[in-house]
Amino acid sequence: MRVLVFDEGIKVRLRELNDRLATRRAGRPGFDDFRRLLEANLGRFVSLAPISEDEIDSWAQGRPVVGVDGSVNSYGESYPYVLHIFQASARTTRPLDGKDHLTCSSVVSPLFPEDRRALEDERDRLMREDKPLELAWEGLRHRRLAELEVEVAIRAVNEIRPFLVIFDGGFMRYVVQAFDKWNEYRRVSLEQGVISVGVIEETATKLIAEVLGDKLPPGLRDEHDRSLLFGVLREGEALGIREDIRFKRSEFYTAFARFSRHPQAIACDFFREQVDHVKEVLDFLYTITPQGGRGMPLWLDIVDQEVRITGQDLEMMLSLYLDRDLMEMFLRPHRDRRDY
Amino acid sequence: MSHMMQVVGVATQQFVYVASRDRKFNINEILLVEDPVYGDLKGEVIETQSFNRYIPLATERNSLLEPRVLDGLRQVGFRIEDEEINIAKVRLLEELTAPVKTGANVRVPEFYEIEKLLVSRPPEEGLVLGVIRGTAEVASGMPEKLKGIAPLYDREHGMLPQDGVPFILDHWAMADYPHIGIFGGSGSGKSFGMRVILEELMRHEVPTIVFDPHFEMDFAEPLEGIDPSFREDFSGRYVIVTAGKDAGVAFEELNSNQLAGLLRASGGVLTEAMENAIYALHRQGDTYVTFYNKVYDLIEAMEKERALEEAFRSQEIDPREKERVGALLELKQEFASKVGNVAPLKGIAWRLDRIGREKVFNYGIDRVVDAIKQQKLVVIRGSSLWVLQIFASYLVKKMYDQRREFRDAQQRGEHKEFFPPFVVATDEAHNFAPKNQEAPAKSVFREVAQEGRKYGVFLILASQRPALLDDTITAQLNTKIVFRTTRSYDIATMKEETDMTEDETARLPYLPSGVAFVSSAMVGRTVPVRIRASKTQSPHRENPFAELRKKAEDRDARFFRAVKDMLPIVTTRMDLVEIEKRLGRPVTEDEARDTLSRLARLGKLREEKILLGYRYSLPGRDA
Repeated sequence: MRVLVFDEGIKVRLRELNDRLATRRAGRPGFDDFRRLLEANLGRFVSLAPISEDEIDSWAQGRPVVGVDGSVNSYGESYPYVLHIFQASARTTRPLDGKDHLTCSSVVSPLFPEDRRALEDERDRLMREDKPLELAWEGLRHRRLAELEVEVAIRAVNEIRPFLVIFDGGFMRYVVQAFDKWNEYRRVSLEQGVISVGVIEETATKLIAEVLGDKLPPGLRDEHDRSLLFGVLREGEALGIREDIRFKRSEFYTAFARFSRHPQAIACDFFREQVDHVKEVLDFLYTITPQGGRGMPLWLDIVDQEVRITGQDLEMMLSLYLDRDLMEMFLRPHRDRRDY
Repeated sequence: MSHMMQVVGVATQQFVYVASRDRKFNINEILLVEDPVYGDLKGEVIETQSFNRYIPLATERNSLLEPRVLDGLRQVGFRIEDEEINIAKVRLLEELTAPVKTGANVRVPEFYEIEKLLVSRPPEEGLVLGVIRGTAEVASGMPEKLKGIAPLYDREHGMLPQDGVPFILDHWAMADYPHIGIFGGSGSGKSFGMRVILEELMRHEVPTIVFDPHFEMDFAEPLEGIDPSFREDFSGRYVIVTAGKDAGVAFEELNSNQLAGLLRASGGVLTEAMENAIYALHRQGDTYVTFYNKVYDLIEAMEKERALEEAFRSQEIDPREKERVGALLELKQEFASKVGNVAPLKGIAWRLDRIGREKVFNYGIDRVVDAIKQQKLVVIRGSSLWVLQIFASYLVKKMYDQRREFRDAQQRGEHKEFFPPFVVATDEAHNFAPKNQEAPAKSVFREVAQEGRKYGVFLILASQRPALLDDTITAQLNTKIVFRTTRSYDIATMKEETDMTEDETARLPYLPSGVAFVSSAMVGRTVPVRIRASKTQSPHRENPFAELRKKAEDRDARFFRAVKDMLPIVTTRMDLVEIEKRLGRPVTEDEARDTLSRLARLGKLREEKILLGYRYSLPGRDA
């Protein structure tokens, strides 16, 4: 048991925050009005339907689904005695030769000369672009992770040839962080007839506000897709964006959908070349999403669970391959030695 | 494909957890942990678990997955049921100074790597008692001579193939680690385990005395459904001897102490007065008859003292009668003051009568000694447990002394006729040597337990109540074979008296019949064993209800045969005399009518209702 220390000021400030959020919500148009607005300017609402096993069968032709996800773990507190472990995994629903996943990994630490150089290059780039140097590591981190994910996805397309690849996250991240590799992925997957979908849980984009512009009440013109669409879609419903609408910040086709009882919508990115498959992919994702869950297709949760390395796993791995005394001397954050 | 197994979670010097995605663990199997520091470590699986991380318990947050979701994924090849993770708790068979490395690889050993651990003696030199549980996988690599020697058996399926490495008890090692205890409740497979051990002792021609309180130790009947190749004929390798019929106690060899013990066994506690009387009256060398007469004469002398004295003084007394009376008076003179009154004498007399009726004193033990010298197994029975106890106390002592004398003489370099080492086995051992209680055989069992090793005399004691067995003896049982045990007292005793772990004792109440933990100082660890099929079976294994049914069927069939050509029979005009003649026993009209109607119910006869009765004929034939 412990007594919570909670300054009075925090309470006051949180109440203020609550008032602000409430004002924002108050400015929202009603359910029907907003749906009409979306339908008039953006696209149309489509009911999704779980697909039968036979339909899946005839569609997939025995080819599996692959889920792609990545994780990064860090250890150590003080530069350069830090290390970062990147791992990306492509997991297939149908094991191939007893193997159900492909992985790529990278261990980065300024203690390796080549990593130090990469970090310095990144810093130089930021300096040239007049960006804050603190971003050097962040930038490198995002890039490595995105590259690894795309790399493992390319391998999955070549080695497993699935009918569908589901990415955990939108496509724009790959364009920004792993441009060359992503183009390669796009080329091989389109060549092989592999459909790709990027499922975005936290739709922090502002695509809708951007298109609707001043058709939205003034308070909502800068609103995220996430909060705009909260409770707007019915369960098992998608908002298919008209094809002629191009978002400024995305070259991809995006659909919003609500796959479970939870009112939040998620977004799905597709290559424009594969727009014909959007409905069936959404139906399939709807089929494999638990109704009582938060609305993410189960397969992504399974892939995430597999690729994620917990703090305990990390400790175990480190203690297995690093000498204990070296680890204690250089790496273990002192705060880890706290008793409580 | 070899399976991936790894040490996971918290590891200690003694226990590790091993996980595998694709391999189920078997309880008791032996695994090798490849530790980077200690090298290959052997460990035994003592607990297994499986769980599926994608099928969590339904909670407020984790709703159950709808079948639709699973079907959808299955259709593209993902079977959530296969996402099981198997976890085993493994006890290391050696104590380390530091824990095993977490993450270390684990594998199934090859047979040769753990051969020493599993097989301490070749089958031709040890007792093949069964199969070590959890060794199915490694057994594939074992040499031919270990295969097919311990087939299994269960009531439902009959004989089953040997499914692992044989458990071979090294009875030679009894020279260092003497005596075996077999414990377990009824139906646990204890008697069956005893039978297998005795069969093995016969195979090795180890002289053995078996006390058989349940009349079940006969080896003539082959196991029902036995594979012919496994059959073995034990005739000529054992004899059955019954105390009071073809063996008995030589009364003249008893000392007063032993006699008191026998009388105690025959009728419960002796009073101090009775014991005094025995010590006063008995002389070594007395026969049953001389001692018996002494007691009865003294009673007469004390009860009729005055009359006898008068008669002795009388002039008319016949000289021969006078001699008898004089002897009685002398007897009284000598013993009356020591005995006090006749009550204790009567108690002794009653007990002597009781033993006498069992004819315990009528025969010697020559038959037993001869068989033992021929290295046979001798099954000893008695009309009741106390007779058996009396005889056991005498016999074991006698044989043990002979063996000891031979050994001592040999040590001194003197010549003495060979008397072989031997084994004494009994069920209901807690009756022969109870804790905190006297019993005739207790002292000699104790003596053998403590000293027998020196002379090559060994005990095999079975009991369903280990907690009631004399603890000095229990402590001397270097090998304990523990079957299913449910009483907490007995489990506590096993916990104290064996090296079984907490996990193992916790499993004791749930062991399947025929499975036992063998905890032995010879092996140094507890080995779970499924006892092999016996080659023979106890003569009265028939279910009593099956027996009843069979009896009824026999009776009906006999009746049917008898009346068959008298058909049709009309109940109002039955020829009972003829039926009685044909059956050779009296038959009432009611019995005949009931039996006919039962045969009709069974479809053997056709029943027609006629005026005032029934008419019975063969079915399918027109009247």
